[in-house]
Amino acid sequence: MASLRRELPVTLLSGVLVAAAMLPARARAQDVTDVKPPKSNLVLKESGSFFVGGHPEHIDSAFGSGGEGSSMINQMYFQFQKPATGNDEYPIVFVHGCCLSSKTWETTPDGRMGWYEYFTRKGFDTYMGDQVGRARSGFNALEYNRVQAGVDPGTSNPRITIATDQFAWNVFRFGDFATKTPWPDERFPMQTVGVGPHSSLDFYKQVIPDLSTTVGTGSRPIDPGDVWPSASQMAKLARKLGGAILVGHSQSSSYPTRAALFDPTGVKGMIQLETGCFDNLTPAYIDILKKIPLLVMVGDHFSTPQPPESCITEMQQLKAAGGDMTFIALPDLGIQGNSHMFMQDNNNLQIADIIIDWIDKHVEKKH
Amino acid sequence: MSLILAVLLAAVQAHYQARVLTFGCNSSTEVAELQRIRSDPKTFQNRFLELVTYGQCIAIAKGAVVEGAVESADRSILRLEAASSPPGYMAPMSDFKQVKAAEKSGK
Repeated sequence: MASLRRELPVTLLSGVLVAAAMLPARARAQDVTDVKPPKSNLVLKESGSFFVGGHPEHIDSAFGSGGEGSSMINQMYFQFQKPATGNDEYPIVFVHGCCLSSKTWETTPDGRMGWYEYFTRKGFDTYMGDQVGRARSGFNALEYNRVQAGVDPGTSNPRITIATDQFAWNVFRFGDFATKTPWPDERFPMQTVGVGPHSSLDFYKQVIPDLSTTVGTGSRPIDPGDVWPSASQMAKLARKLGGAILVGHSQSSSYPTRAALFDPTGVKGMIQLETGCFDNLTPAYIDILKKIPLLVMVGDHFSTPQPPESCITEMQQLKAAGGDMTFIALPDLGIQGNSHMFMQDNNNLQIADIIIDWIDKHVEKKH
Repeated sequence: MSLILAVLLAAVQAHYQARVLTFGCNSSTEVAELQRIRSDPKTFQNRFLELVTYGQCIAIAKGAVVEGAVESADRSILRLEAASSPPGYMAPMSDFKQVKAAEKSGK
């Protein structure tokens, strides 16, 4: 296993070699001049994208463009890349948090390698999805058009979450917003949120309107997994892949658990970054979850004690049932200063290695 | 397994419509906390957004129709969508009215 985690060799394999794989990561930054090229080429055997789930919603002629018909909603977009030389671990699936997209896992705002590339380099088939209601995934726009047409009152309009810079400073734990003073040991690249000379606002370009309030507003679908679908779509993907390790962050942190409870068939590991715990699990749910290892990881500078009560309760319940739940507060490992966005912090690859080590020790291998 | 759960849950589920823009959370403790501060919109909004961001709660649009069941241990709590998004979301019962499935906001 360890030998497979070294940098992948620069080898052209027969079969599909993605042309983009031979390019440094220059094309993926928010400011191309910021991107730091890697020391070695990233060699892939395959990359691609697809949707999971979604269902056609009937649209009356009063609300649709081009006449009455159906429009797809709640489909979830995934993209992936597979290394030319893989490891013996199951594929890993990343899903982002509030007001963000799968850009979260790509090149960091200051141009360093993100986890999408790093995990691929470490031999994982790596997937990342946009939550339903965000970026390239669908949502139910009918709710807005009904209000615009005066059929529904404005008070029924779903609220679009617009995260501000103040939100980012407070919730992502950058420091004191009023004075724009970061924590002394802050590891987030603060020059991308306007701090210091030659700073930019590049991180905020990742923050996009969050339409998740529209999720669940469609007509009652045949497939129950299409109601609040992101977690169930993750479960469907894990099953189709023949097994996967699911990762949620922040707003999606509880999705790996929800996915496993929806359909545990393909869920081989659950990684929940920055909470996502439950204290309302019934014995039937615990019976499912005790069979799948769970890692919950949090960073530094929380204003509340860590782990939170819900995590303590869940850990006690799962361990009493013979389950495998690990809670890691990075400061407890002697790693200080990590923000809510530790996949983009200046030690993001160190954190990735901790996760990979946990996977190695807790999650079953493919073969 | 999910099919079994879905069948079991379907036996006790009913449809409810959100009367207002409301929320569902991973625990009833979080519901109680939000209910306590709801009369202070600014405090509520800040805390709610924090709980959403940390994956503990979701927003539910006014008019949304959901499947749910009243928690037997606490009749003020509705457990929503336990079949589609297990273990469901805990929500304040007072924010919902029971409807027939076909009513679906008249949409």
